[in-house]
Formats: sequence, structure tokens, C-alpha cells
Amino acid sequence: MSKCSSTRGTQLKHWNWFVSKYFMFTYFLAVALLFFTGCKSENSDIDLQNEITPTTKPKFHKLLKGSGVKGPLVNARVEVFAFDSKSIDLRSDKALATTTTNENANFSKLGIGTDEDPLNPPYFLVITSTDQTVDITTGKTPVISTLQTVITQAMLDSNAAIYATPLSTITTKLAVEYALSNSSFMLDNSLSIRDNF
Amino acid sequence: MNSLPVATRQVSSTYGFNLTDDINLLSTPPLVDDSIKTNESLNNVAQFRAANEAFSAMVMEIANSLDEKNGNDVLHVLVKDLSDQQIDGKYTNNNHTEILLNDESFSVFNKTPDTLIIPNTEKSIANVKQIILDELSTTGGSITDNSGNKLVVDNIELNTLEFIPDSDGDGVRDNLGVAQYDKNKSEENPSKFSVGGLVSGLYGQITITLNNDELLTLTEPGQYSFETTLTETSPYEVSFNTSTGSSLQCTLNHSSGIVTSENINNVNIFCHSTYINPTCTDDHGFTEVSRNFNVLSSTPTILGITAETSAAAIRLNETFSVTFLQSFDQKSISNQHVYLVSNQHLRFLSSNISDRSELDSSDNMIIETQLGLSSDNKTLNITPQKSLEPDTCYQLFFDLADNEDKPIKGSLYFYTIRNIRVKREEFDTNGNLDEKFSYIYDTKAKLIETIKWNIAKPNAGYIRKEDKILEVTQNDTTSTLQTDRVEYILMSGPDDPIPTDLDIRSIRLKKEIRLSGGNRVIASIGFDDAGADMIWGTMDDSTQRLIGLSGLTHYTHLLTNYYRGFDSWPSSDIIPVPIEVFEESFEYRQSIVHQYRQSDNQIQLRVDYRKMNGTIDPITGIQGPINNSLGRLSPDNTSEEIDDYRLYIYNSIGQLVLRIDVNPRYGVVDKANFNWKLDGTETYEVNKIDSPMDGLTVSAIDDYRVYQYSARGQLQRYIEYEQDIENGNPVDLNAVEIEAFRNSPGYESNYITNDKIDEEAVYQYNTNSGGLMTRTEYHGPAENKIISDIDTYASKP
Repeated sequence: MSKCSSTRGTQLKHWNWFVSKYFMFTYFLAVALLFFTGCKSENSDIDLQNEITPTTKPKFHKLLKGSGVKGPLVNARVEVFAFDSKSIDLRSDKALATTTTNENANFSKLGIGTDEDPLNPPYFLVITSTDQTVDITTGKTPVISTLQTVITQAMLDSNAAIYATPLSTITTKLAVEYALSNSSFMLDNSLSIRDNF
Repeated sequence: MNSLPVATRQVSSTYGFNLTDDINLLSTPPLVDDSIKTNESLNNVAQFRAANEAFSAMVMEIANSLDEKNGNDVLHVLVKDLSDQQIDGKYTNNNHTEILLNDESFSVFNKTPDTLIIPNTEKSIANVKQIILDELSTTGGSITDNSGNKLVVDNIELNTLEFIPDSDGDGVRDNLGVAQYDKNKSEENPSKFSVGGLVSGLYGQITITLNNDELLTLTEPGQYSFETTLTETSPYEVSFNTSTGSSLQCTLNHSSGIVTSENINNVNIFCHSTYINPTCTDDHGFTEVSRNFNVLSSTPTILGITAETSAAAIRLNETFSVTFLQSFDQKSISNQHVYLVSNQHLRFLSSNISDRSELDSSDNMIIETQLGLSSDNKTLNITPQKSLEPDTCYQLFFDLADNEDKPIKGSLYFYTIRNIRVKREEFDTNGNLDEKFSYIYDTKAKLIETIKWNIAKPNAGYIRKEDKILEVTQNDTTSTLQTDRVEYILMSGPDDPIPTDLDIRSIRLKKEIRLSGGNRVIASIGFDDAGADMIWGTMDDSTQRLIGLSGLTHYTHLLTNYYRGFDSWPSSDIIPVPIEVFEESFEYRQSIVHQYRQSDNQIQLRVDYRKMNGTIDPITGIQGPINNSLGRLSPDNTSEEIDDYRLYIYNSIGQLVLRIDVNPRYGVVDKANFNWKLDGTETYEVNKIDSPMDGLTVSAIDDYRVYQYSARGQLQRYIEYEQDIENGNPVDLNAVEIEAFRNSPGYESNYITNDKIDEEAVYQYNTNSGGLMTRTEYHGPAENKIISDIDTYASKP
């Protein structure tokens, strides 16, 4: 049994990859030589040194904004967690992204989803009070220290602000309870925890 | 039903002070942001914010009464209180009641929300309107519409807290009515009943109306029900709202009547096509024979399959058979009145073809056939006199006579299949070829299965259903066992050595024991693939491996889906608890059933049910959903257990759980009229069930293909296997079966493509997200020979 035809596409891509890498290497080698010899292209004003500056900052697929509101919370820690069906609270151990609410009690540009780790809702947004956190409605430390909500695909699609409130918190907790409970009355046992959530 | 929407409705209808439907607990802003541009949205903000402040006030009053300082602890209590679908300060489950709140704490819920004081302030909830305006100076935003006009906030009025949720959002509390979550009836709230029935034969769509009020558009066969519910003695009348058009004719059965004390579910709709199906292909490109079957005077069957609802396909350059119930007159056969017309020609004809004369205008339209007749004069062996085109729909016309010279006229469709091997790439809903998961979709783009690849054990093949957590009903004789779960994991890995510690993902069945009051897994128990031996150990959380394994003596590649029970838990390390694993859930019952024919008591059918997620009704048989169960038919002539045409369901410890008299393809066998023999010499009757057997999928094996049918008998896909043509050796059916449906690790390519058009590939997109769903490569045959160089099911590295 020959496997040539079945792997032809792969081989072709490997060839393309090789060719691509070969020319990339050549290109960078030339650029490096030019850089070290202080040369510029004779036919253009392009600064090759700037031209090859690599960009390492990850490109996020979604930038979240929002707030934690019993009253609006200033200086609260904001974290986004992935869905983890093996976790007791269905949240991943480590936050995918973290920031802090500003003096206007909101956060923005909280990036999730990259080419390496594509968007995969639902996510959990958790806003936790610290010693510096203030509820601007009361001017005091929040009475409920942790607020959370669920970020669904629809919410991501809408690009609307994400808010964690006491009612979203109890809703999230109840939904997690149901999804994990063996006495839950609405779940379809044929589905995974994620699908049931 | 998913837990998040149910939880949202429950909280909104209780702790949310019965918020209106246009306020969503997860998406409505609790403060003024740049999305607020109308009076309505501004008032929703105020209402939602007030509900949050009032709820927080109640939480903190309860916290104070319990000497709790942290509102989060109270939230945990309130979640538990509501989780039994009633706010009463208690948690009740299985006749066990736990007191959560004392009378003083619970009395907080009876307070009028508007009078509650915002914690850490002296302001009442009635001040929220002003608060959200005042805080704009800090949070930013404005209260003007797009034209610059100032928005107006109404006075806020919260409803009192309700103690019983409305889980399904139908406006009826769960303790009233009879809807999905509404448990009881009430004289003050008269019971209401739904009106619906079964629609069959539908393609395209029809719109029907209930009492000229509610409109309901139906787009596919199956059960339907109007949302409107009616009280007892109410009249109901269902009618077509729009004409079904010339291509589809539908009739209503039991369309009107008076509602009694139960749901009306017999308003059945029967549809059939009135024109020649132009493609023989369903919406998703799967080969399928037309549902349109024009029979004028008889009910022929194709290859033993009743043609009315099933698919049929033939290979090129083959003689194929059509079996009739009647005997033929040999003279009518000799007159050669059986002929084929390809759909290429049929599409230019406007209506039913019932006579050859309508086709004679063009000789090219007709493909003559050479006919042979079986010894019982019932089976026609048909050999086309011209090569058929591959992947083409043909209509086969009969113009014959039976042995009493009565005409047998009619036609049926079939689809020609060339020798194609198929490989599929599965993509996630974003169109990405996932490195860890493969996704299997049905023809309606519904995700039916997720396969997780065993990345950690490259040579161990693949894992299915790793995330599938199945609930177990248990005899909890101790109070310390809170949650018990079973996780099924299938794997392949014939060369794996017996390990002393084991990646848990390569264990087929794993039980987790969780201690009361905490959800940490303290131990796991797994069974090996044969199900005969039990292994156990403790799980190392950091490595996700079982350590300290013992009892592992047998570790093979056998995949029988057979789960053994166990009498007791190991005494060491874990709490001994008797658990009746197999009693309550069909998941744990034997998944292989045998079917035997009556004539000679030989086994006729063996079906492996892979995903028996439904329930069994002893009277009517399998009830859905048992979607997309993979199954197989075994060959005849075995000496295994003997009985007639029945399915036997055994549990995992070999006890007979249920017997079903069933035709796996069409419905329930009527025992009284049951007289079927496989040789076709006798008739048989099968009572078609009113609704399709949801999800019961049976795959049949011919020489080198495996066919998989949908629950409605439509051919969904087939997998073709290499045949040793040169030596004429048949395919080893058992090997094919194992290769195909038992142990196929699937195919995964090494690249991601966004191409849409390819000469040899078909790209399927998810109709919901638009994401690339599958890529199917068709490797066409050369001279109708099966090519063998496609690494279709390479094991994933």
C-alpha cells in the first residue's frame, strides 16, 4: 500500500515550508549583514533595522470591557477564567487574563483568545475586592467581596460590556451547582458538563 | 436543558424580584454605559441595579443575623436553598432536609424591597434612581439619546420576592401548571394542555395555525407542539396557514376536537412529494435516495428494504435486485418493460412519469435493462444495458404484470455510488482543525460527538467521551459520600504495556469519590478495557495519573463496551460504600443486543449500541434521545442465544433487563402478525411507529462498505473498505467492523485549509456559525477499482 498520494499535500506543504524557510533565512541573513555593516539599501530610504523589528505581542481575538457592580467597584481585581469541566467550580486554575478596575470603576482591553489559544466560551469573569477596592455607591469596602458572571458566545459576539453583579454571581453559582450536581433535574446525561452548562 | 439559562430564569424570577423578560441578569448593564440610548434601556438599568442593591441588602441582613461578615458565604447558602426549586430556608433532597436559615434570617425575604437599606449607607432602595445618575460623574457616560435628547428614568418599583421559581419562563410558577418544570395542577390556575402531533414526509417547510391564532412553521419531520396551551374543554382546530405548494402535499389527521385532561398529541400531518426529486441528494451532500416513491399498484421493496422510507444505492456496472411482494408473469418480464431514466433527463420533465410513451421522444433518455427473474417470480435481477453514470440519481420504471395479468406499475429512485473512499477532517465550530479534539456533526450541523485525542500517550490511540460525566444513582448508606461520578473513557492501544501507574485518560471507566463538603477527588477507580478486571489507586492531582495501582491483571485492546459491575469498593484508601451502578441508568446496561429470526432460530442481527442515552419504555421500545448510536449487524449462522425477532437488553452483570420486540429500521414488530422469514417467501408485518425511532442508527455491511443510516432511514454516510479485487477475496466483515466503528481513530491532516473549492473535496460549514465543519476528500476510482493508497484512518501521533 503506497501512501504517496495520501501524503502528497503534506509533502508539498513541507516543501513550501522548506522553501519559505530557506528564503526567510537568506533574507534575515542579508538583513543582519547589512545591519552589522551599517548599510542601507541603495535604492530606497527604508531603514532595514526598523523593518525587521519582530513583533511578539500576542494578538487577542477579543478585548473585554466592563465592570463589577454592586455599587461600581474601583481598584478591584478582574480575572477571566476558562471553562474547565474537571474543576470544582468549572473554572480553570489559572486566569487567562487579569487587570484591575480603574478610577472610573471599569476595565477595558482585557484580551482573550489568541491564535495559540483560540476563543472557547463560556468563560468566567471574576471580580475580587482587595484592600484598595471601594464601592463608589457607599465609599466603603464592598459587602460582597467576589462578584462573577459567565461570558457566553453571544456576549462575545455582541462586544457589549461585561458586568459582574450580585445577581449574576448567584446565577453563575447556581448554574455551576446544577451542572455538577448528580441530582440536577434538567440535565441531559448524554451531554458533557460543558454542553450541559 | 442547559443549566445556565435555567439558573438565570430561576434567579430572575425569585431573588431578582421577578424582573421583566427584557432584563437579563448576565447582559443587562447595571449602570449607565455608552449602550444606553433609550428611555427603555435606561429604565432597565435602574430596575436591574435596584434589584441588585435590594438583593445585596437582603444578603447582608441575613449575614448579620447569622453573624457572618462575608456576603459570599450567604450567597452559597442561598444557592443551595434555591437549588431544590424552592426558597424556604431549607435544602431538601431525597427526603433529607437540611435547615439552612433560621426563622429570623428567613424573615428578611418577606420585607418590601423598596424599604431595604443599601448596605453601608442610610439610603433606601428607592434612592437607586438618583444614585445611578449621581455616579455618572465617576463612571462617565451620559443619559442622552443619539439625538442629544435627555433620557428619563421612571420611578423604580420592585416586586416582592417570590419563593417558587419559574424555571421555564412560561409565566407559571413551578408549583403550578403542567409545563416542563411546572409540577402540579392547581384549581386556581387551571391546567393547560398542549396541542401537537407528528409530521412525517416533510421537506421544505409548512406553516400551520392553532385556532387561527398561533402560527407554527415546521421544517423537518418529527414531533411538534404549539406553544399555546389550552384549558380543558377548549376547542382546538389546526389548519394549514399557507398552501404547501405544488411540490408537496400534506394532510392533517385529527385536526380538530375538544381538549380533555391531557395533551393533544395526535394532530398528525402526513406529507409526500408530488414531483420528481431532482437530485437524489440531501441538503448536506450525502447520498440519499429520493423520498418520493411513486407506486401505482404495488409496494415493491428494494433489496429487502421497504422502499417507502429507506435509502438505496447501487454500484456501477452491477446487476441489482428488486423484490416485490407479488409474483410476476414471466411474459411481462420478457417484454422488457423495466427501464431507467437518469435524473439528468428527469429534471426537464414536469410531472410524474407513469408511461414509457412520455419518454420515448428521446431515445437517449431511456436505459434499457436486461431482466432476470428469481425462482419464486418475485425478485427481478436487473442489469442495465448501458453504463450508468456515477453519483447520479436514476428512476427505475416498472411496467409489468403479475401472474393474474394485473398491472404492476410504478417507479423508484436509487443513487449510483462509485467506489470512493472517504476521509474526513473535523473542525471545531470556529473552523479550526483542533489539535486536541475532533468534532462530529450530524446532517443538521448539530454537534453529536466530541473526540478528544490522547495527546499524552501518542501510541495509545484516542479517547472518546473523556468529558462525559455520567451520574450514578447510589445507595448512599453513609452520609459522607456526597457525589459519585463515573467517567467513561474509550481508548485503543494494543501495544501498551501493563503500567504500574496510569494516565487516567487511558483508563476506560473511572470512578471518582468526592468527600462531603468538598469536591476534591480523593480516589479513582478504573476498569481496564475488557471490563473484567478492576484496578484502583489514588489520583495524583498534579500529574493526573493514578498511582499505587493494584488489581490490574488484564490490559488488552478489546473494545466490547461491556462494563462489569463490582460488589464492593476496595477497603483500603477509600470509603466502602455499596453502589448500585447498573440499576437506574441505561448507560450501564449491556450494550450489545442480539436479534434472532423465527424461522430457524439463528441469530439474524446483532446491534452494538454505543450511545444508549435514552430511556427504555417497556411498551413502546426505545425512546429518544439515543442519537447517532453506532451499531453493526453481525453475520448470520451463529449458535448464540435463540429467540425470535426481539432485542434483548442486558445489564452489565448479565441480567436480562428488558426485551423489545422491534424492527430496528422501522418500528415495533407486531407479534400477532409477525411472520417474517429472511428468504422473503413469506410476508411479514411491521407496525411502523408513529414517530421515527429517534436516533437509532443501524449500520449494515455489504462487501466492502459500511452504511450508516439516520433514525429516519436515510443514508447518512458510508465508509468504504479495501477489497481484494484481484484475488476476489471478500472483505473480512469482522475486521471491517472493528476497523470502522469500533476502533477507528479517525483521520487528521497536518494542515489547516481555508479552501472552499477543491476538485476532490467537499467542505461543510456549520450553518449556525459559518465555521468550517468537515472536509471530506473523495478519492475517485480509476475504472471502478478501489484505490488503496489513502491513509484514511491513520492513528494520530
